[in-house]
Amino acid sequence: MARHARAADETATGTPKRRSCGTMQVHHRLLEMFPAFRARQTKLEHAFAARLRSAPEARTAPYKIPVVVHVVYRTAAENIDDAQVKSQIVVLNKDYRAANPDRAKTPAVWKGLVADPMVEFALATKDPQGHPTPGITRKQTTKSSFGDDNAVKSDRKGGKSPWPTDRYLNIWVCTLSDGLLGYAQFPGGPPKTDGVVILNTAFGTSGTVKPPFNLGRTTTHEVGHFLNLRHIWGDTEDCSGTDFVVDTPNAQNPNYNKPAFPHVTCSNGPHGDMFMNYMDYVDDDAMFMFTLGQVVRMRTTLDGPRKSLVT
Amino acid sequence: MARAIDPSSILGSWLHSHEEDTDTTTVYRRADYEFPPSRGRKGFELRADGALSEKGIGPTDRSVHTAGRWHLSEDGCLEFFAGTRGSPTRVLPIESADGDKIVVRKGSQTCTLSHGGSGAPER
Ligand SMILES: [Zn+2]
Repeated sequence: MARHARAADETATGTPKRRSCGTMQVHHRLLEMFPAFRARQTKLEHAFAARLRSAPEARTAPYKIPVVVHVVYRTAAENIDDAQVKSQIVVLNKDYRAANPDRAKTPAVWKGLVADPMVEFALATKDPQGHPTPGITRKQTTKSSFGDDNAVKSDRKGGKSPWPTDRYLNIWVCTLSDGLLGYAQFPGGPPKTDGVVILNTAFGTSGTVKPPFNLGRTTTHEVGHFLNLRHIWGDTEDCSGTDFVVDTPNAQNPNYNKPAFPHVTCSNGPHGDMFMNYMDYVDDDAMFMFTLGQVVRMRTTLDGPRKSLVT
Repeated sequence: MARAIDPSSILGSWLHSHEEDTDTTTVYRRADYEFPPSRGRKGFELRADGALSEKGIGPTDRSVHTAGRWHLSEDGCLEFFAGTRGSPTRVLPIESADGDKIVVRKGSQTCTLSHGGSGAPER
């Protein structure tokens, strides 16, 4: 593959914005910085394949995951209130239980695929030392924004270092540069940076949130990655990629905004892209479902590399 | 149809302004444009020496950068190359470029593809 690291701080326009993380393809970077990642991802794919060949009993008890939200702020507005944080947890508990009312908007042809991941989230009640906690930390920073380089996850870099990532889902909420809404890390990656990062104005449903990203779906999407879900277009532009899930149609590119059904690409007619899936790029009010295949993939993760999170 | 695109009008860093796309065109704006939030934006940086950095969307929404070379053909087609040889990996038929905005026609049918690196710039 002809992928190369790019040198830092090269901008022909002289724009002061950071686009100099020296980023390689994300996987390559993770592989080099954290060689165990490849082995863990491979092991997880094998476990997923095995699970698809078997028929485990239907799960009756939800997976419960303790969450810590790190609010990293410089201005008062960035220091979002507890109510806004809690409004995000409410959304996660609807979307990850297929209890979101808007799932009814799923096109008839895919209604039967809508599945309940059976994952429930709660702000942690005990901190890593076992003391009572609201499950929210607040850290003032001098940085006006953070990039997608994990700096927000480090005390040393002006952010907030995580609580033990094998015991808590760490969610960082901050101002992100370049209008980025959020980013995540797959299971099996470096523990120090494990978790998801969300733009403060796209977190929850109250306070500082701004449409069209005001329904908390950015966090739903990023937690999907945290549980090993891929984008439904398979991360290529030529229909060659895959999300490793068979019941999501092959799609060419991310869909944006509020698409009209159907949007046909990659010979996936007549119904086209499943753009209303949480793992596409549409507006918050245009995404409202996971499929059964995605749910199996998430449960394989929760029974495997993320098992220690489940209480 | 020959289109004269001034190469200096397309130098620099550009991001996909997907909110402005139409059924037939794709719109790019300079990276310092005040973009609204997005789950991810693709883009590219064209340097005067022919170096290209393509910005893609990674599998967990972090940006990924791929180095290459770029070339602007006489008929206004912007070609991206993974190296110095071979066919272009992407061809963008430019509809217009005014220095602030690049409008690209969807599909590359209107471009004559370069072959065997003949259209690729020397390193
Ligand atoms: Zn994503």
